[in-house]
Amino acid sequence: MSVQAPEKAKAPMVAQPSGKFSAWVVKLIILGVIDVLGIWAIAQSLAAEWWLAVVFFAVVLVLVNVTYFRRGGLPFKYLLPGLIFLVAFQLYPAGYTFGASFTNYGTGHVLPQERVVGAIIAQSSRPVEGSPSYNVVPVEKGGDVFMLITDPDDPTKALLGSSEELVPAENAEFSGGKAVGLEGYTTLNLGSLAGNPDLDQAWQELTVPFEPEDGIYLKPQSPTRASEARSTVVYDADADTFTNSETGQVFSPNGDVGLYTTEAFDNDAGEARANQGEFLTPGWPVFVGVDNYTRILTDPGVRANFIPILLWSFAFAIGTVLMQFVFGLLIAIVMQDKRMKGQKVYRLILILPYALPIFMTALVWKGMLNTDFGIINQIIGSPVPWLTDGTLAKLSLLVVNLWIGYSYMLLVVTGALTAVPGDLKEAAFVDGASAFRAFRTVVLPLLMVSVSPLLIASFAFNFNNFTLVELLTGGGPFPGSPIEGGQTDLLITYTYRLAFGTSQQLLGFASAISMVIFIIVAGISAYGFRLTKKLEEIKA
Amino acid sequence: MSNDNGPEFLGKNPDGSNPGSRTNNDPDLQLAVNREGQVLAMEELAETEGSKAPTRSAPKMSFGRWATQLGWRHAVAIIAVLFALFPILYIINVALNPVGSLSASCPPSKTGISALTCLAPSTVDFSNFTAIFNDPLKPFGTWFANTLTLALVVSFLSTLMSAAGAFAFSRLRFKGRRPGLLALVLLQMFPQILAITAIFILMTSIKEVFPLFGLGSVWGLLLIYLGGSLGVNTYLMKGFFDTIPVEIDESAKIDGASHVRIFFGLVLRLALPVLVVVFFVTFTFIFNELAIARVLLPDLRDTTLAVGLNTYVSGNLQEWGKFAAGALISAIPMLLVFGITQKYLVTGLTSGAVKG
Repeated sequence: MSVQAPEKAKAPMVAQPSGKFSAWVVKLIILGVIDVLGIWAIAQSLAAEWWLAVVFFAVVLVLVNVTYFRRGGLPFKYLLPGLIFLVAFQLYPAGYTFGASFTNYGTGHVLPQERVVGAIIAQSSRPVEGSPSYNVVPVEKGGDVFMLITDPDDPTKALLGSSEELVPAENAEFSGGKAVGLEGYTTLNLGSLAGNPDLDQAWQELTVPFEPEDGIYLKPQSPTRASEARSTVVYDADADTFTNSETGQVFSPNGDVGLYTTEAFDNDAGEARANQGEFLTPGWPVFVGVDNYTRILTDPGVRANFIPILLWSFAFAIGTVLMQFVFGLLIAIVMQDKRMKGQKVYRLILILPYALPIFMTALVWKGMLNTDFGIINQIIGSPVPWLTDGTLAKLSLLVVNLWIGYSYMLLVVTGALTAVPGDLKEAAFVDGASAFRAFRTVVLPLLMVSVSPLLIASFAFNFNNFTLVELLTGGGPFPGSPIEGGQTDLLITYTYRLAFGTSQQLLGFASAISMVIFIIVAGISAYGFRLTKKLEEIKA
Repeated sequence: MSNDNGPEFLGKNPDGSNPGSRTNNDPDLQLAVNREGQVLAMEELAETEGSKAPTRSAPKMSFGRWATQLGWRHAVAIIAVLFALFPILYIINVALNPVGSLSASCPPSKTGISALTCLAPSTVDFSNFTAIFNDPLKPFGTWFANTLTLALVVSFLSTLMSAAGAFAFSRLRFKGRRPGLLALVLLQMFPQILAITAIFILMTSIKEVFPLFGLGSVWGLLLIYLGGSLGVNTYLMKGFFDTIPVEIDESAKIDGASHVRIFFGLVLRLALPVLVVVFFVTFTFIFNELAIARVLLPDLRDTTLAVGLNTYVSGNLQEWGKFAAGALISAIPMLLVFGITQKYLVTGLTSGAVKG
């Protein structure tokens, strides 16, 4: 290392005093802005009664001021900015996932227990035959859908209904004796509902308490009409039970499964068909212990999906790393001869796949491998189902990932090869070893020392290579329903679908699989790095 | 093993006792570098190409000798080049075809070898390129701006913040350093995609209170990406900082340089190659990220390229021409960043800043 750098650094220090003062002013301004923002954030969180955020912002505010105003504590001046983001957006979600993996959080178990009562009433209400229909219009604000109702008693007034309450609407616009809009809200119609499935679903499911004491609610029939509906269950607030007004069944809160259930409900069967009619939906999330984890291994239905997906995840990750490495190594060796002309051009083109976005390359391959119109089948001259046959789809994934990733390995290996001392290779030749033998016994072991940590990292990356699989095959083909997993599903794409992909979201179960993935990848990385260390010791 | 080395399996850090004593032959450097070896390897490529001593200059070779020594190398290289170029040529052809379906860009009448002619554009028409900018339901311009903003801002902030954290871990001694490092190792093995459920729930809560940073907001996604990239990057850079001899900052300290000056003036400058590597890797990752973006920005009117372009070719209506045009434009920023960082690294190295 040259001594240049410290000298250069010394030069501007002459101007330090005045520089120090202005730096101090800048620091004061920055901290002032942070304090103002922090206090505003605390106030907002307080108003929303989001206590976790209140604590978080308060701690951040104190830490920032203490760290940057006191003398000393230098390390924390450097650590704090990153630490704040790391804790909020990495540590907290990771911890939350760990916690959620012990719950039954998911579709039907999202709302806290105190809000479940209203949701049950809304879900179990049925249309009242012969009831009048009401002039309504859906309005939207901030992604939430409300029902704007023309007051049946006084058509010059309007009411605004949500799933929680019905309030008078001020400043409504009227047209033709009907309320058609409300200040601050966007009026929706058939077209805008059709264009946005989320809003449409929210509108379909909207149940507005109309005369809740009599069990009467309003439900939309169309984007302009709503009718009365009566709940089939009646809630008794004192006893905290529901009674079915037709059958007389009594449902009481069951903390083991997070549902209102009858006496006959079988906790072990859960929400399976065996318990049909013995519970009310939705429920609330409850702690279920290690059920999600044991379910992976003991539930025959789940196990039948999980094991093949697990094996394919390993096969995909290992196969990808091996293929990319071997192909990259081969080309690196081929290009090693310095007398070879046109090397720069070759390299430039061969590196291209690595410098292109994956969403571009993966989807181009999807087009090229299309059974009916893809260019590959046109060249072959027969409709090979590259992406729709299980085995071929697996093969296609490996080949496409080879295309995407070999140039990375080419770069890595070329770099590592230049680090292998040339005299070692020559010495091996002098000993009479063949080129292949010299390579295998001398060059390759040295190469592996520096490359193996990368291979492990590449394994970890590809084990969770969501983007490629999602874009190329989407996890398919699917022999059964998508929730049972597809033939090219990796654990990560399977988990993602469990959490977000279908109408039923199994967030607690998905979290448990996430933890399993983490343990697998971390364990293999740990083991791999230990092996690497051994390799290094051999080299030393 | 020294006391500040974290768990044994780290392996990347076999000699944590005295960072100052390391040389560039130290395996630690190779490993720290190798974790992201792609770009550093490039430097070495460039270096060897530039400085290669003229090897036995082969005057005239007989064809037989040429074929056994170099010819086969050209043959392999050409096959590899064809493999690399094939999809790229194909997408250019699809983008330039106004009809925009796969069958139009390569008529079914062409089969066998003649289908290879489909790799050369049969028409040159830019209507796909203009069409994607004029679709209010799928605004390509917005996707492009969103993606570029996310990738640039996050890469820059993440590089800076993780450099600061790495500086503390590498150069400063403090209570909690060892558990801190251990926590970092574990955290960087937990990719954010595994916590996507938790992130979704967190962003739903944030939306209620701070709509600007909640679900559906690019700025919210930016915060998530920032938090997710810090662990890996800090860990990576710590390994590299360890290879910069401490004597340098010590002598600067004796000269009266403040820690701020040592960090910004010295360490960051000496670590420029790895900063660029980290910037490039983060940029690439965020540019391509699909899983989290799709959950947090589901509205096609305001989403990222990875989420948006996919919708052109999935589902019943497949518009390959528009997709191809959009994808080609999307490739430009990545190619630019790749090209710029590569050059920057090479100059950084050849000036001898790191390899002194």
